[in-house]
Amino acid sequence: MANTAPSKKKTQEEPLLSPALLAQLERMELVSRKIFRGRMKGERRSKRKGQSVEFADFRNYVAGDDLRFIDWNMYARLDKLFLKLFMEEEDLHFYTLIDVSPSMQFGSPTKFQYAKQLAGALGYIGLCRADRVKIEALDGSRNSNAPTLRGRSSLWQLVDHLERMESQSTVTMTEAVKAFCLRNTGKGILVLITDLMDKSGYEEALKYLVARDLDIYLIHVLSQEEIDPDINGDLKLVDCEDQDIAEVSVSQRLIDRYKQTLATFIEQARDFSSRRGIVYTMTSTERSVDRLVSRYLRQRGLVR
Amino acid sequence: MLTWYQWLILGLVPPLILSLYFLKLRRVPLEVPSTYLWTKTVEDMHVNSIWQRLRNNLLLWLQLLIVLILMIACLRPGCTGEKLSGDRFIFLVDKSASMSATDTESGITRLEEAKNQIYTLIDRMKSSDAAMVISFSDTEGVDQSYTKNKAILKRKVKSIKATHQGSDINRALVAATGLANPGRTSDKLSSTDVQVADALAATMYIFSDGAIKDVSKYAPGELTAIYQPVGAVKPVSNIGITTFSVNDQLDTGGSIEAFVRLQNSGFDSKTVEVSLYIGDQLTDADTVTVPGREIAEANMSLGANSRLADIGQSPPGGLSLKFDLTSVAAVLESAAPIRFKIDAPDDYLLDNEAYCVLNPSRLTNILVVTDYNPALKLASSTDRLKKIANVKFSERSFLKEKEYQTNAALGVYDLIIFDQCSPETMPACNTVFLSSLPPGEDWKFTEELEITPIIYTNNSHPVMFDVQMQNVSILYGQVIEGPKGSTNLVESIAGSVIAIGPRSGFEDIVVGFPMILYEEDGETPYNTDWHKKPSFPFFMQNIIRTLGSGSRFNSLRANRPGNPVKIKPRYPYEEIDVKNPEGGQQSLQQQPNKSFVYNKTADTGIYSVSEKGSSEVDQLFAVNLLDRLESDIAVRDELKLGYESIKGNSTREPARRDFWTFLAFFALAILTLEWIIYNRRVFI
Repeated sequence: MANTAPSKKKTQEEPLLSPALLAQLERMELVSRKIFRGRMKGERRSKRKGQSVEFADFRNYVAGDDLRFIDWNMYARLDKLFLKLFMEEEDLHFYTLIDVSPSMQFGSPTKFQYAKQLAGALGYIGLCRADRVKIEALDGSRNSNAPTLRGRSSLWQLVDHLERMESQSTVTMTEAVKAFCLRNTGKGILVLITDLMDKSGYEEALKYLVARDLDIYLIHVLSQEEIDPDINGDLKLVDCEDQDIAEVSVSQRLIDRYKQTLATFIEQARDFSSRRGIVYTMTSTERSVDRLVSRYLRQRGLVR
Repeated sequence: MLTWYQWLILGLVPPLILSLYFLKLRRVPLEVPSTYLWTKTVEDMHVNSIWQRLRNNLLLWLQLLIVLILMIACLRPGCTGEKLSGDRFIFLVDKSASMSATDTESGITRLEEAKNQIYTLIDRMKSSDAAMVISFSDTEGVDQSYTKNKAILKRKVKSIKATHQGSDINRALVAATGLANPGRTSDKLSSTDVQVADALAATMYIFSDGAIKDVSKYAPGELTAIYQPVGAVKPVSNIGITTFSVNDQLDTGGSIEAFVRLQNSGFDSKTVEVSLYIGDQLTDADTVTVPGREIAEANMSLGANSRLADIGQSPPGGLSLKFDLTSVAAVLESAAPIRFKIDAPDDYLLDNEAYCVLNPSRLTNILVVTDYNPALKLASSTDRLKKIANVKFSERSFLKEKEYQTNAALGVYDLIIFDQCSPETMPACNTVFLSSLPPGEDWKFTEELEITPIIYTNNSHPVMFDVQMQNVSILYGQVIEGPKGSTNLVESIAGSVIAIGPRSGFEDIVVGFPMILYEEDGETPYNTDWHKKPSFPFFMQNIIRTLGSGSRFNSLRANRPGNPVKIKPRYPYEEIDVKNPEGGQQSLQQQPNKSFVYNKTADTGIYSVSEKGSSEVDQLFAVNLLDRLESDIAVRDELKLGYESIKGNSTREPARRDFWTFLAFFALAILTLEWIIYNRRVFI
């Protein structure tokens, strides 16, 4: 895998989000399948009744209600006090979790770079719609330095945060997700970008997230060399994370078997996710981010 | 073949290859995002036993296959053929008539079968081996001297053609042994007799059916003879004509008979139909049963196949037939061919027909020059002689006449008897001089005898057959000294009194004593009582028959194929044409002795002679094989060469045609395939 280093360098030189992509993203909107309570007034319909112009319902007046919302026309007709309820518009929590394990440093462009691009793109959509955007690395730290961003003007902060992000975590995905859950209590959309290459398993981590009642999207990023390995000869494969060694004599049969195993692995992840209401999307780093966002994620219903 | 320890080493190779597959490889380290999936994959594959890995490893199987093929190659697989040991070979091929028999397994002729066997032998020769080809019938020829070029050898073998001749291996053996044992002349112990070249050992393969003339002398020296019998292994029945002749009228008192002897080479008697044709006319036919081989008592109890081994002890069965041709010959106007035919086809067809010629009588022209000799006149006028000779008596003065000189020079006379006189030049015919000498210095009288006792008669000469001279009294006589090459026929105390000598194709007889003395007083007393003895007419008859070509059926002698035939036409032609049975024609020039020699008698059948350019047939002659040995087509199991007896190599040596080279090539091909697979990483 000697060819990964130059490609890594090359991708870093490119801007994380190109102007063309940004222009495309401005027209999009993050969609939540669930309606959550926000903290601040935003552009989203809230569960709460509020002060928007959109009529929602009537209810009987009880002592203490704001007199401003009494429907006087109704009182004149029925001689009863009714309160007119309007829809409340709120903001939305949009979390993006990026797997920062060393295995993400492979591929061309690297999976990590790809994940950052994707997170930036999705985050920008959120910023444009006045959602509360938070991008966090799955590094298992108790105190996240990730800013919670709102408004289109926060784009530079978003990009700055992403560029400073590094992949060197060695904690398991479960621990990292656990730490995230402890830190953040807000409800909303969560996009988990990972390669799922965790020997301790990803299931536990996803269960934690599911328990938080979030609208979860799992984006499974794989590099081309993982999907179709181009290796030859008798090799000693060294795991970049735990230095685990697997000795293989590459043969067509072995390659076929590997592909079979990978397909099974993907199928299991998809199955596991769909059983728990998680939207699963598998992508290769070869697939461009704008294509992924504008086509695949739109199909999955994450953006509109 | 390999020894046991070599096999052991070879046997260790496959386990070694297998063990190499279990050895840990020196692997190239490679960092990957995660070994998670790889470990899972490898675990999946390792779930099955380690043998499964081997089972699906194409390279391993190819390697084991290569070793297996090499092991098979080491076993030296091969097929049967003939083993050729030695590096010089002589192929002696019998091309005699009996080799035309078609009693081989595949139905081809024996000669073709022999050729096929030789081709096989040539193929088995190593590239450094040299071989030569000699074919023989009753003559021999070196078809190809020693060469290593197999193509030439095969071509020469292919060009050998079957003949209609008998077989005589003697000269072929001389040629073969001479080439194998060169140099030495005779005396091995002599210090002056130096061997000029090293004797080179050679193996001689004799391809024959064994029907060959006895070999008297055979000194193989460095030569190893191998006899390859060609022909049917089972006893074959062949009815053949071994004798066909028409008798001499002189011997039978006027009747003309054809004699035929049939021979059966099989063990069982056989019934065949025979027919006799004169010209194209069927004259006689018969159904005859020819008895089979006479089985020697010692072999009676043996089966037919075992008896065959002792074929020499069991002479072939035979049957004689006789046909009376007197009435046919009486009305004959010109020479007529007689053909005798066996109508049953068998494996050997050449001896199923025999030919003979019945020539119209031609009286021998004999001139007797004498003034007075009643004894001679009496002896010449017997009925017998009258039938064969036209005897003319003339006075001695006739020698001066032109008629004599012309006729004598042209060869009109077959024989001239000069009684106490001699011509100025010798005539173009045979002569007899009674008490006179031929002109010239060749003949001389050396001594005169008052009384001439006979002490020796050379009865082996045809002129003296049955002539007993011991009881003949002779008074006056002269001792004769003949020219070079002359033979004494009758000797007295001081030397020869009757001698015969050659003269450029003719023969002259000089008798040293007169029958009658011409005395001065005109008396003519007898000098001898020979004319009263039975020996005198015999002598006269012999002279006329031998020197005068007086046999009435002069073509009845069997001419054998390949032998030259002396032709004496009825008229003294300058040139003649001879047409062979196939229709081919050849012109011949007259020889100095007024006769012609024709030597292209390769085929059996009737040959016709005519004057050059003329269509009128002057005479016919027949060429017949009529060979008991050739007609006995039973294959001899043993060949007697001199004192040596060579067993037939009929049970062919189990042999080898090696295939290991093909296997080695195959192994190499697989190795190449493996190399390609390893490099391309296909299918593994």
